[in-house]
Amino acid sequence: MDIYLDLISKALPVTLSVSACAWLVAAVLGLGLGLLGGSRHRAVREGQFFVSTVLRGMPEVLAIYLLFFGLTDYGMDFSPFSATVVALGLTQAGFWSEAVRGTLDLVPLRQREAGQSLGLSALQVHRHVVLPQIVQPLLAPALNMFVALMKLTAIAAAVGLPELLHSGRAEMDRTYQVIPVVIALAVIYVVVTLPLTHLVGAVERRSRSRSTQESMPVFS
Amino acid sequence: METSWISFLIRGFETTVMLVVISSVITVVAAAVVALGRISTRRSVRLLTRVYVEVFRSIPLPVLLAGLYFGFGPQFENIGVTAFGLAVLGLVLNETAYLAEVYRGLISSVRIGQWRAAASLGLTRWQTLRHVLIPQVTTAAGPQTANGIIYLVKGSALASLITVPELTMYGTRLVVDTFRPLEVYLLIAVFYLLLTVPVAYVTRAMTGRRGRVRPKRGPHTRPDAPRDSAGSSPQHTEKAWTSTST
Repeated sequence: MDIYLDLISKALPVTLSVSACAWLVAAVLGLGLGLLGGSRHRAVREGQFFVSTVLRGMPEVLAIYLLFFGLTDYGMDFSPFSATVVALGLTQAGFWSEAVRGTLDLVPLRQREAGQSLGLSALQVHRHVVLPQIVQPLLAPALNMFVALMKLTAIAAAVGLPELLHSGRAEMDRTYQVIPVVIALAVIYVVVTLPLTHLVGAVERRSRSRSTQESMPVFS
Repeated sequence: METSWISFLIRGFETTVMLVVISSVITVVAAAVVALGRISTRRSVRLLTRVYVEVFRSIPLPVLLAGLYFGFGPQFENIGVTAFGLAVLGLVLNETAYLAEVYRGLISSVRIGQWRAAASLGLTRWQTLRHVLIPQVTTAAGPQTANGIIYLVKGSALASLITVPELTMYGTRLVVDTFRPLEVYLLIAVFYLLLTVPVAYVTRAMTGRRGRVRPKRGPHTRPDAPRDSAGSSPQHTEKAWTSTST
């Protein structure tokens, strides 16, 4: 039981805070990048897809190595914490941006045109017409992203971030009790992420049924 | 950057490709089997596959790999399973859980009326699946499977944590020799992106023009038709890239 207490009191907070910070980075960058995917210029849309594809196709562990080991010679000393936050935030921003871009399809082009014809600037159209409508459909992906990040944080054990996996490894080396620690890690991860995964599913079903109601043609 | 770097890294790249190919093949087959188990008529099979999916979807791949290697490595070594074999096992166990859910979602997105129609024609449950349901979703399963393979490529980079000499490990060796971490890791990133980015572009070409919701043909995907089975959505093909599953 000591193992569980140790891991939960010391390592789980690290996992959670890194996930939360990386989630914020991913949300901000991903929202900006995703909105570019709704641009009327083809080149911008293609650029958005290329960037998000590269971010999504990059192994997360490599992104962490790049920041942690790669940039020290260039005067940027990342701690394990900041390297993980930035690396995971960047790679997940790719997924975020695709989620955002996907929801843009839910806002009919006609509404943007209507906004423009009322004299709104592009920024105002996004602020007052597009964004309010994509917040709700983004709830499930946003939550899902946090769950995914919690699992991805385990990769940071490779650069010595004292999250769950790294602390578990330290515990193994200290006590020579390997299998109990492995089981403890699995149990903690299952107990923490499983309810969240089901919550994602519930939110997804709810927003899906709502969006089918709202997509009923009213005026056209 | 020198050409000798590339010839050195190619050896690790070969292991990475082997790792990905072997685990992809096993994963696709295993995921199909698990998906069928999830909709089995037997309660025990349904329960068993469900527990498997839920548990292995919750355990992060690095934890699974470390658990297999440090926890059960000696036992596996006794029966002749190397670190490479353990990496394949870890990747397969992890990705199968995700892909099985995707496949199950696809199968259950077919309208339930088709089950009834098939039953009224005298088809057995298995015949219905084999001749009616599965053929309808194989096209939609393509992009999803490609997505799963991308995850396997990215996941294979974690095999270096359990001493498998794949691309990332060769990269780390090269860094130790050259003290040029930025250049080496960027080069390695290019190797990985050569595997993953083209897949994404092919998938996009397969699923049609982007930026436009195009309802697919076929009775079961009419977006305005009321659907009478759970989990159905014409957005299934789109969902692959919007949800993360590592």
